[in-house]
Amino acid sequence: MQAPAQKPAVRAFACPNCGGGMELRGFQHTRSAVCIQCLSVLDTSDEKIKILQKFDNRQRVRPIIPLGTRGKLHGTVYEVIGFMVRTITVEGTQYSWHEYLLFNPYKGFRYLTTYEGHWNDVVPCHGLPAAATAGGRKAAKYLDRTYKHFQNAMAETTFVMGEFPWAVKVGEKVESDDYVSPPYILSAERDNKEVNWSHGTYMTGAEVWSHFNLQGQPPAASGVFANQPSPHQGRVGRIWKTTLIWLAIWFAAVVFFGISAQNKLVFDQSYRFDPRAAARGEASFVTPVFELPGRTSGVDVEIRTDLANNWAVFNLALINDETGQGYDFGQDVSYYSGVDSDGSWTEGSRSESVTIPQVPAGRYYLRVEPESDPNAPAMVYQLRVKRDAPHVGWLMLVLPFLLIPPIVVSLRSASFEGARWAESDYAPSSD
Amino acid sequence: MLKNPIFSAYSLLLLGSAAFAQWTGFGLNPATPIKDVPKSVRENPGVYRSHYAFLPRWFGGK
Repeated sequence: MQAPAQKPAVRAFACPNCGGGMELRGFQHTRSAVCIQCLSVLDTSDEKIKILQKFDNRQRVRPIIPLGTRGKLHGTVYEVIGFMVRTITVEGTQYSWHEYLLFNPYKGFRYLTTYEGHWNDVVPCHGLPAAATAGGRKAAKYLDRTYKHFQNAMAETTFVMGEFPWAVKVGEKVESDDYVSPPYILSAERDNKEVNWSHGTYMTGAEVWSHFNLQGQPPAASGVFANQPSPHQGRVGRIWKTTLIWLAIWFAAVVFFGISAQNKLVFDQSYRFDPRAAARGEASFVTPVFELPGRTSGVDVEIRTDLANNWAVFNLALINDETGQGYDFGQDVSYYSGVDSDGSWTEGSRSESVTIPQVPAGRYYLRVEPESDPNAPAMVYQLRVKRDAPHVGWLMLVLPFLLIPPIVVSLRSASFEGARWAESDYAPSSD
Repeated sequence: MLKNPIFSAYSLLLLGSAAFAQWTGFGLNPATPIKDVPKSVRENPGVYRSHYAFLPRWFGGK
């Protein structure tokens, strides 16, 4: 008959420095522990407890998750048994983050790290990541996923509390390299003896609070963290794909309106205008009646002149011969040219056109009253009236508006990624 | 398109409005609507004067 497995027991002892009572919850895994009262670091690997380091800096850091707190991660209950603060110095500025050591007697250790309200669930890597490159930059490959190098720094342990499965010491330094592939982060920590790889998964403060059943609200996240998943991830590609479909529809509409317009020339007549003769009598006249066929649509009135260094104004009215209703409009035409010290120049145009929108079908005529400089020579001009000319102005107008949403989403995504990489070794201002 | 319903609705509204305006020939009207132009204008065009006939004129070159 097999004997029942022995239940692991908590080991209790007194701190050799201050005499305070201590309990080890990491069982035989614990190699060092920190007295919660005097913060002395103790070697617990042996029955005889030795002091490894005395805490000479009285500035305590209070862990936001108290030691002894239990929470459930991935279906397993873990207890917070250790806490440390680690610090890197970049361009003279110190950045510190907190690490919580979690322990389960059957599953082992894992870590929760936090910086500025961002959290990571970290476990040691089960295999050795391979060196790689991504976009010409250093990278690491782990479990078929490529992680881009983010930052290299010397990390120093600046505060410890609780117990650890290694001989922890304040002032201990390791060279750390972080690689990111949101929402994951891969970290390599090197000292003189070894390289330790760990793999983290981004968590929000709310998730941590929920898993550990903590009171109150988690600290608000500030900025963008290295492996924080982008809220725009995947949206940029999706919205541009949708935009391409709409652009195809837009193009089809342009082609449709271009080829389906009647574009029918319904009146075309040339006239002569002599301003000197007009000054002595009535310049206005009416054209013969012409038919505007089809559905209600636009009418283009084009005026082509042979003006040279002169101007003309055409007072026009498009009048329905049957109803007496119509449209009164005017059009200026002026054309000047010459040569000066800058060379030859021209100004204006000999031809102009007016589009009258939404003109119902019917029989129409034009009342025309030209004006010009009374001393100007006679001019010849041509009046051309087109029904439903192929204008696609409205479709052209909406084109930029169709592009606004994908551009905005792209810019927001780029801004988020910019904020992420601004904290890396590859920030635009970095060499 | 179903993955971006808001954008698709926005695009549909834009293109639909443009197509409607295009089809009906809707546009900013540079002309003034006029009513009851006398029939006699065909025999005597001077009985009607354009709204634009009384504006000051000067068009100089460079």
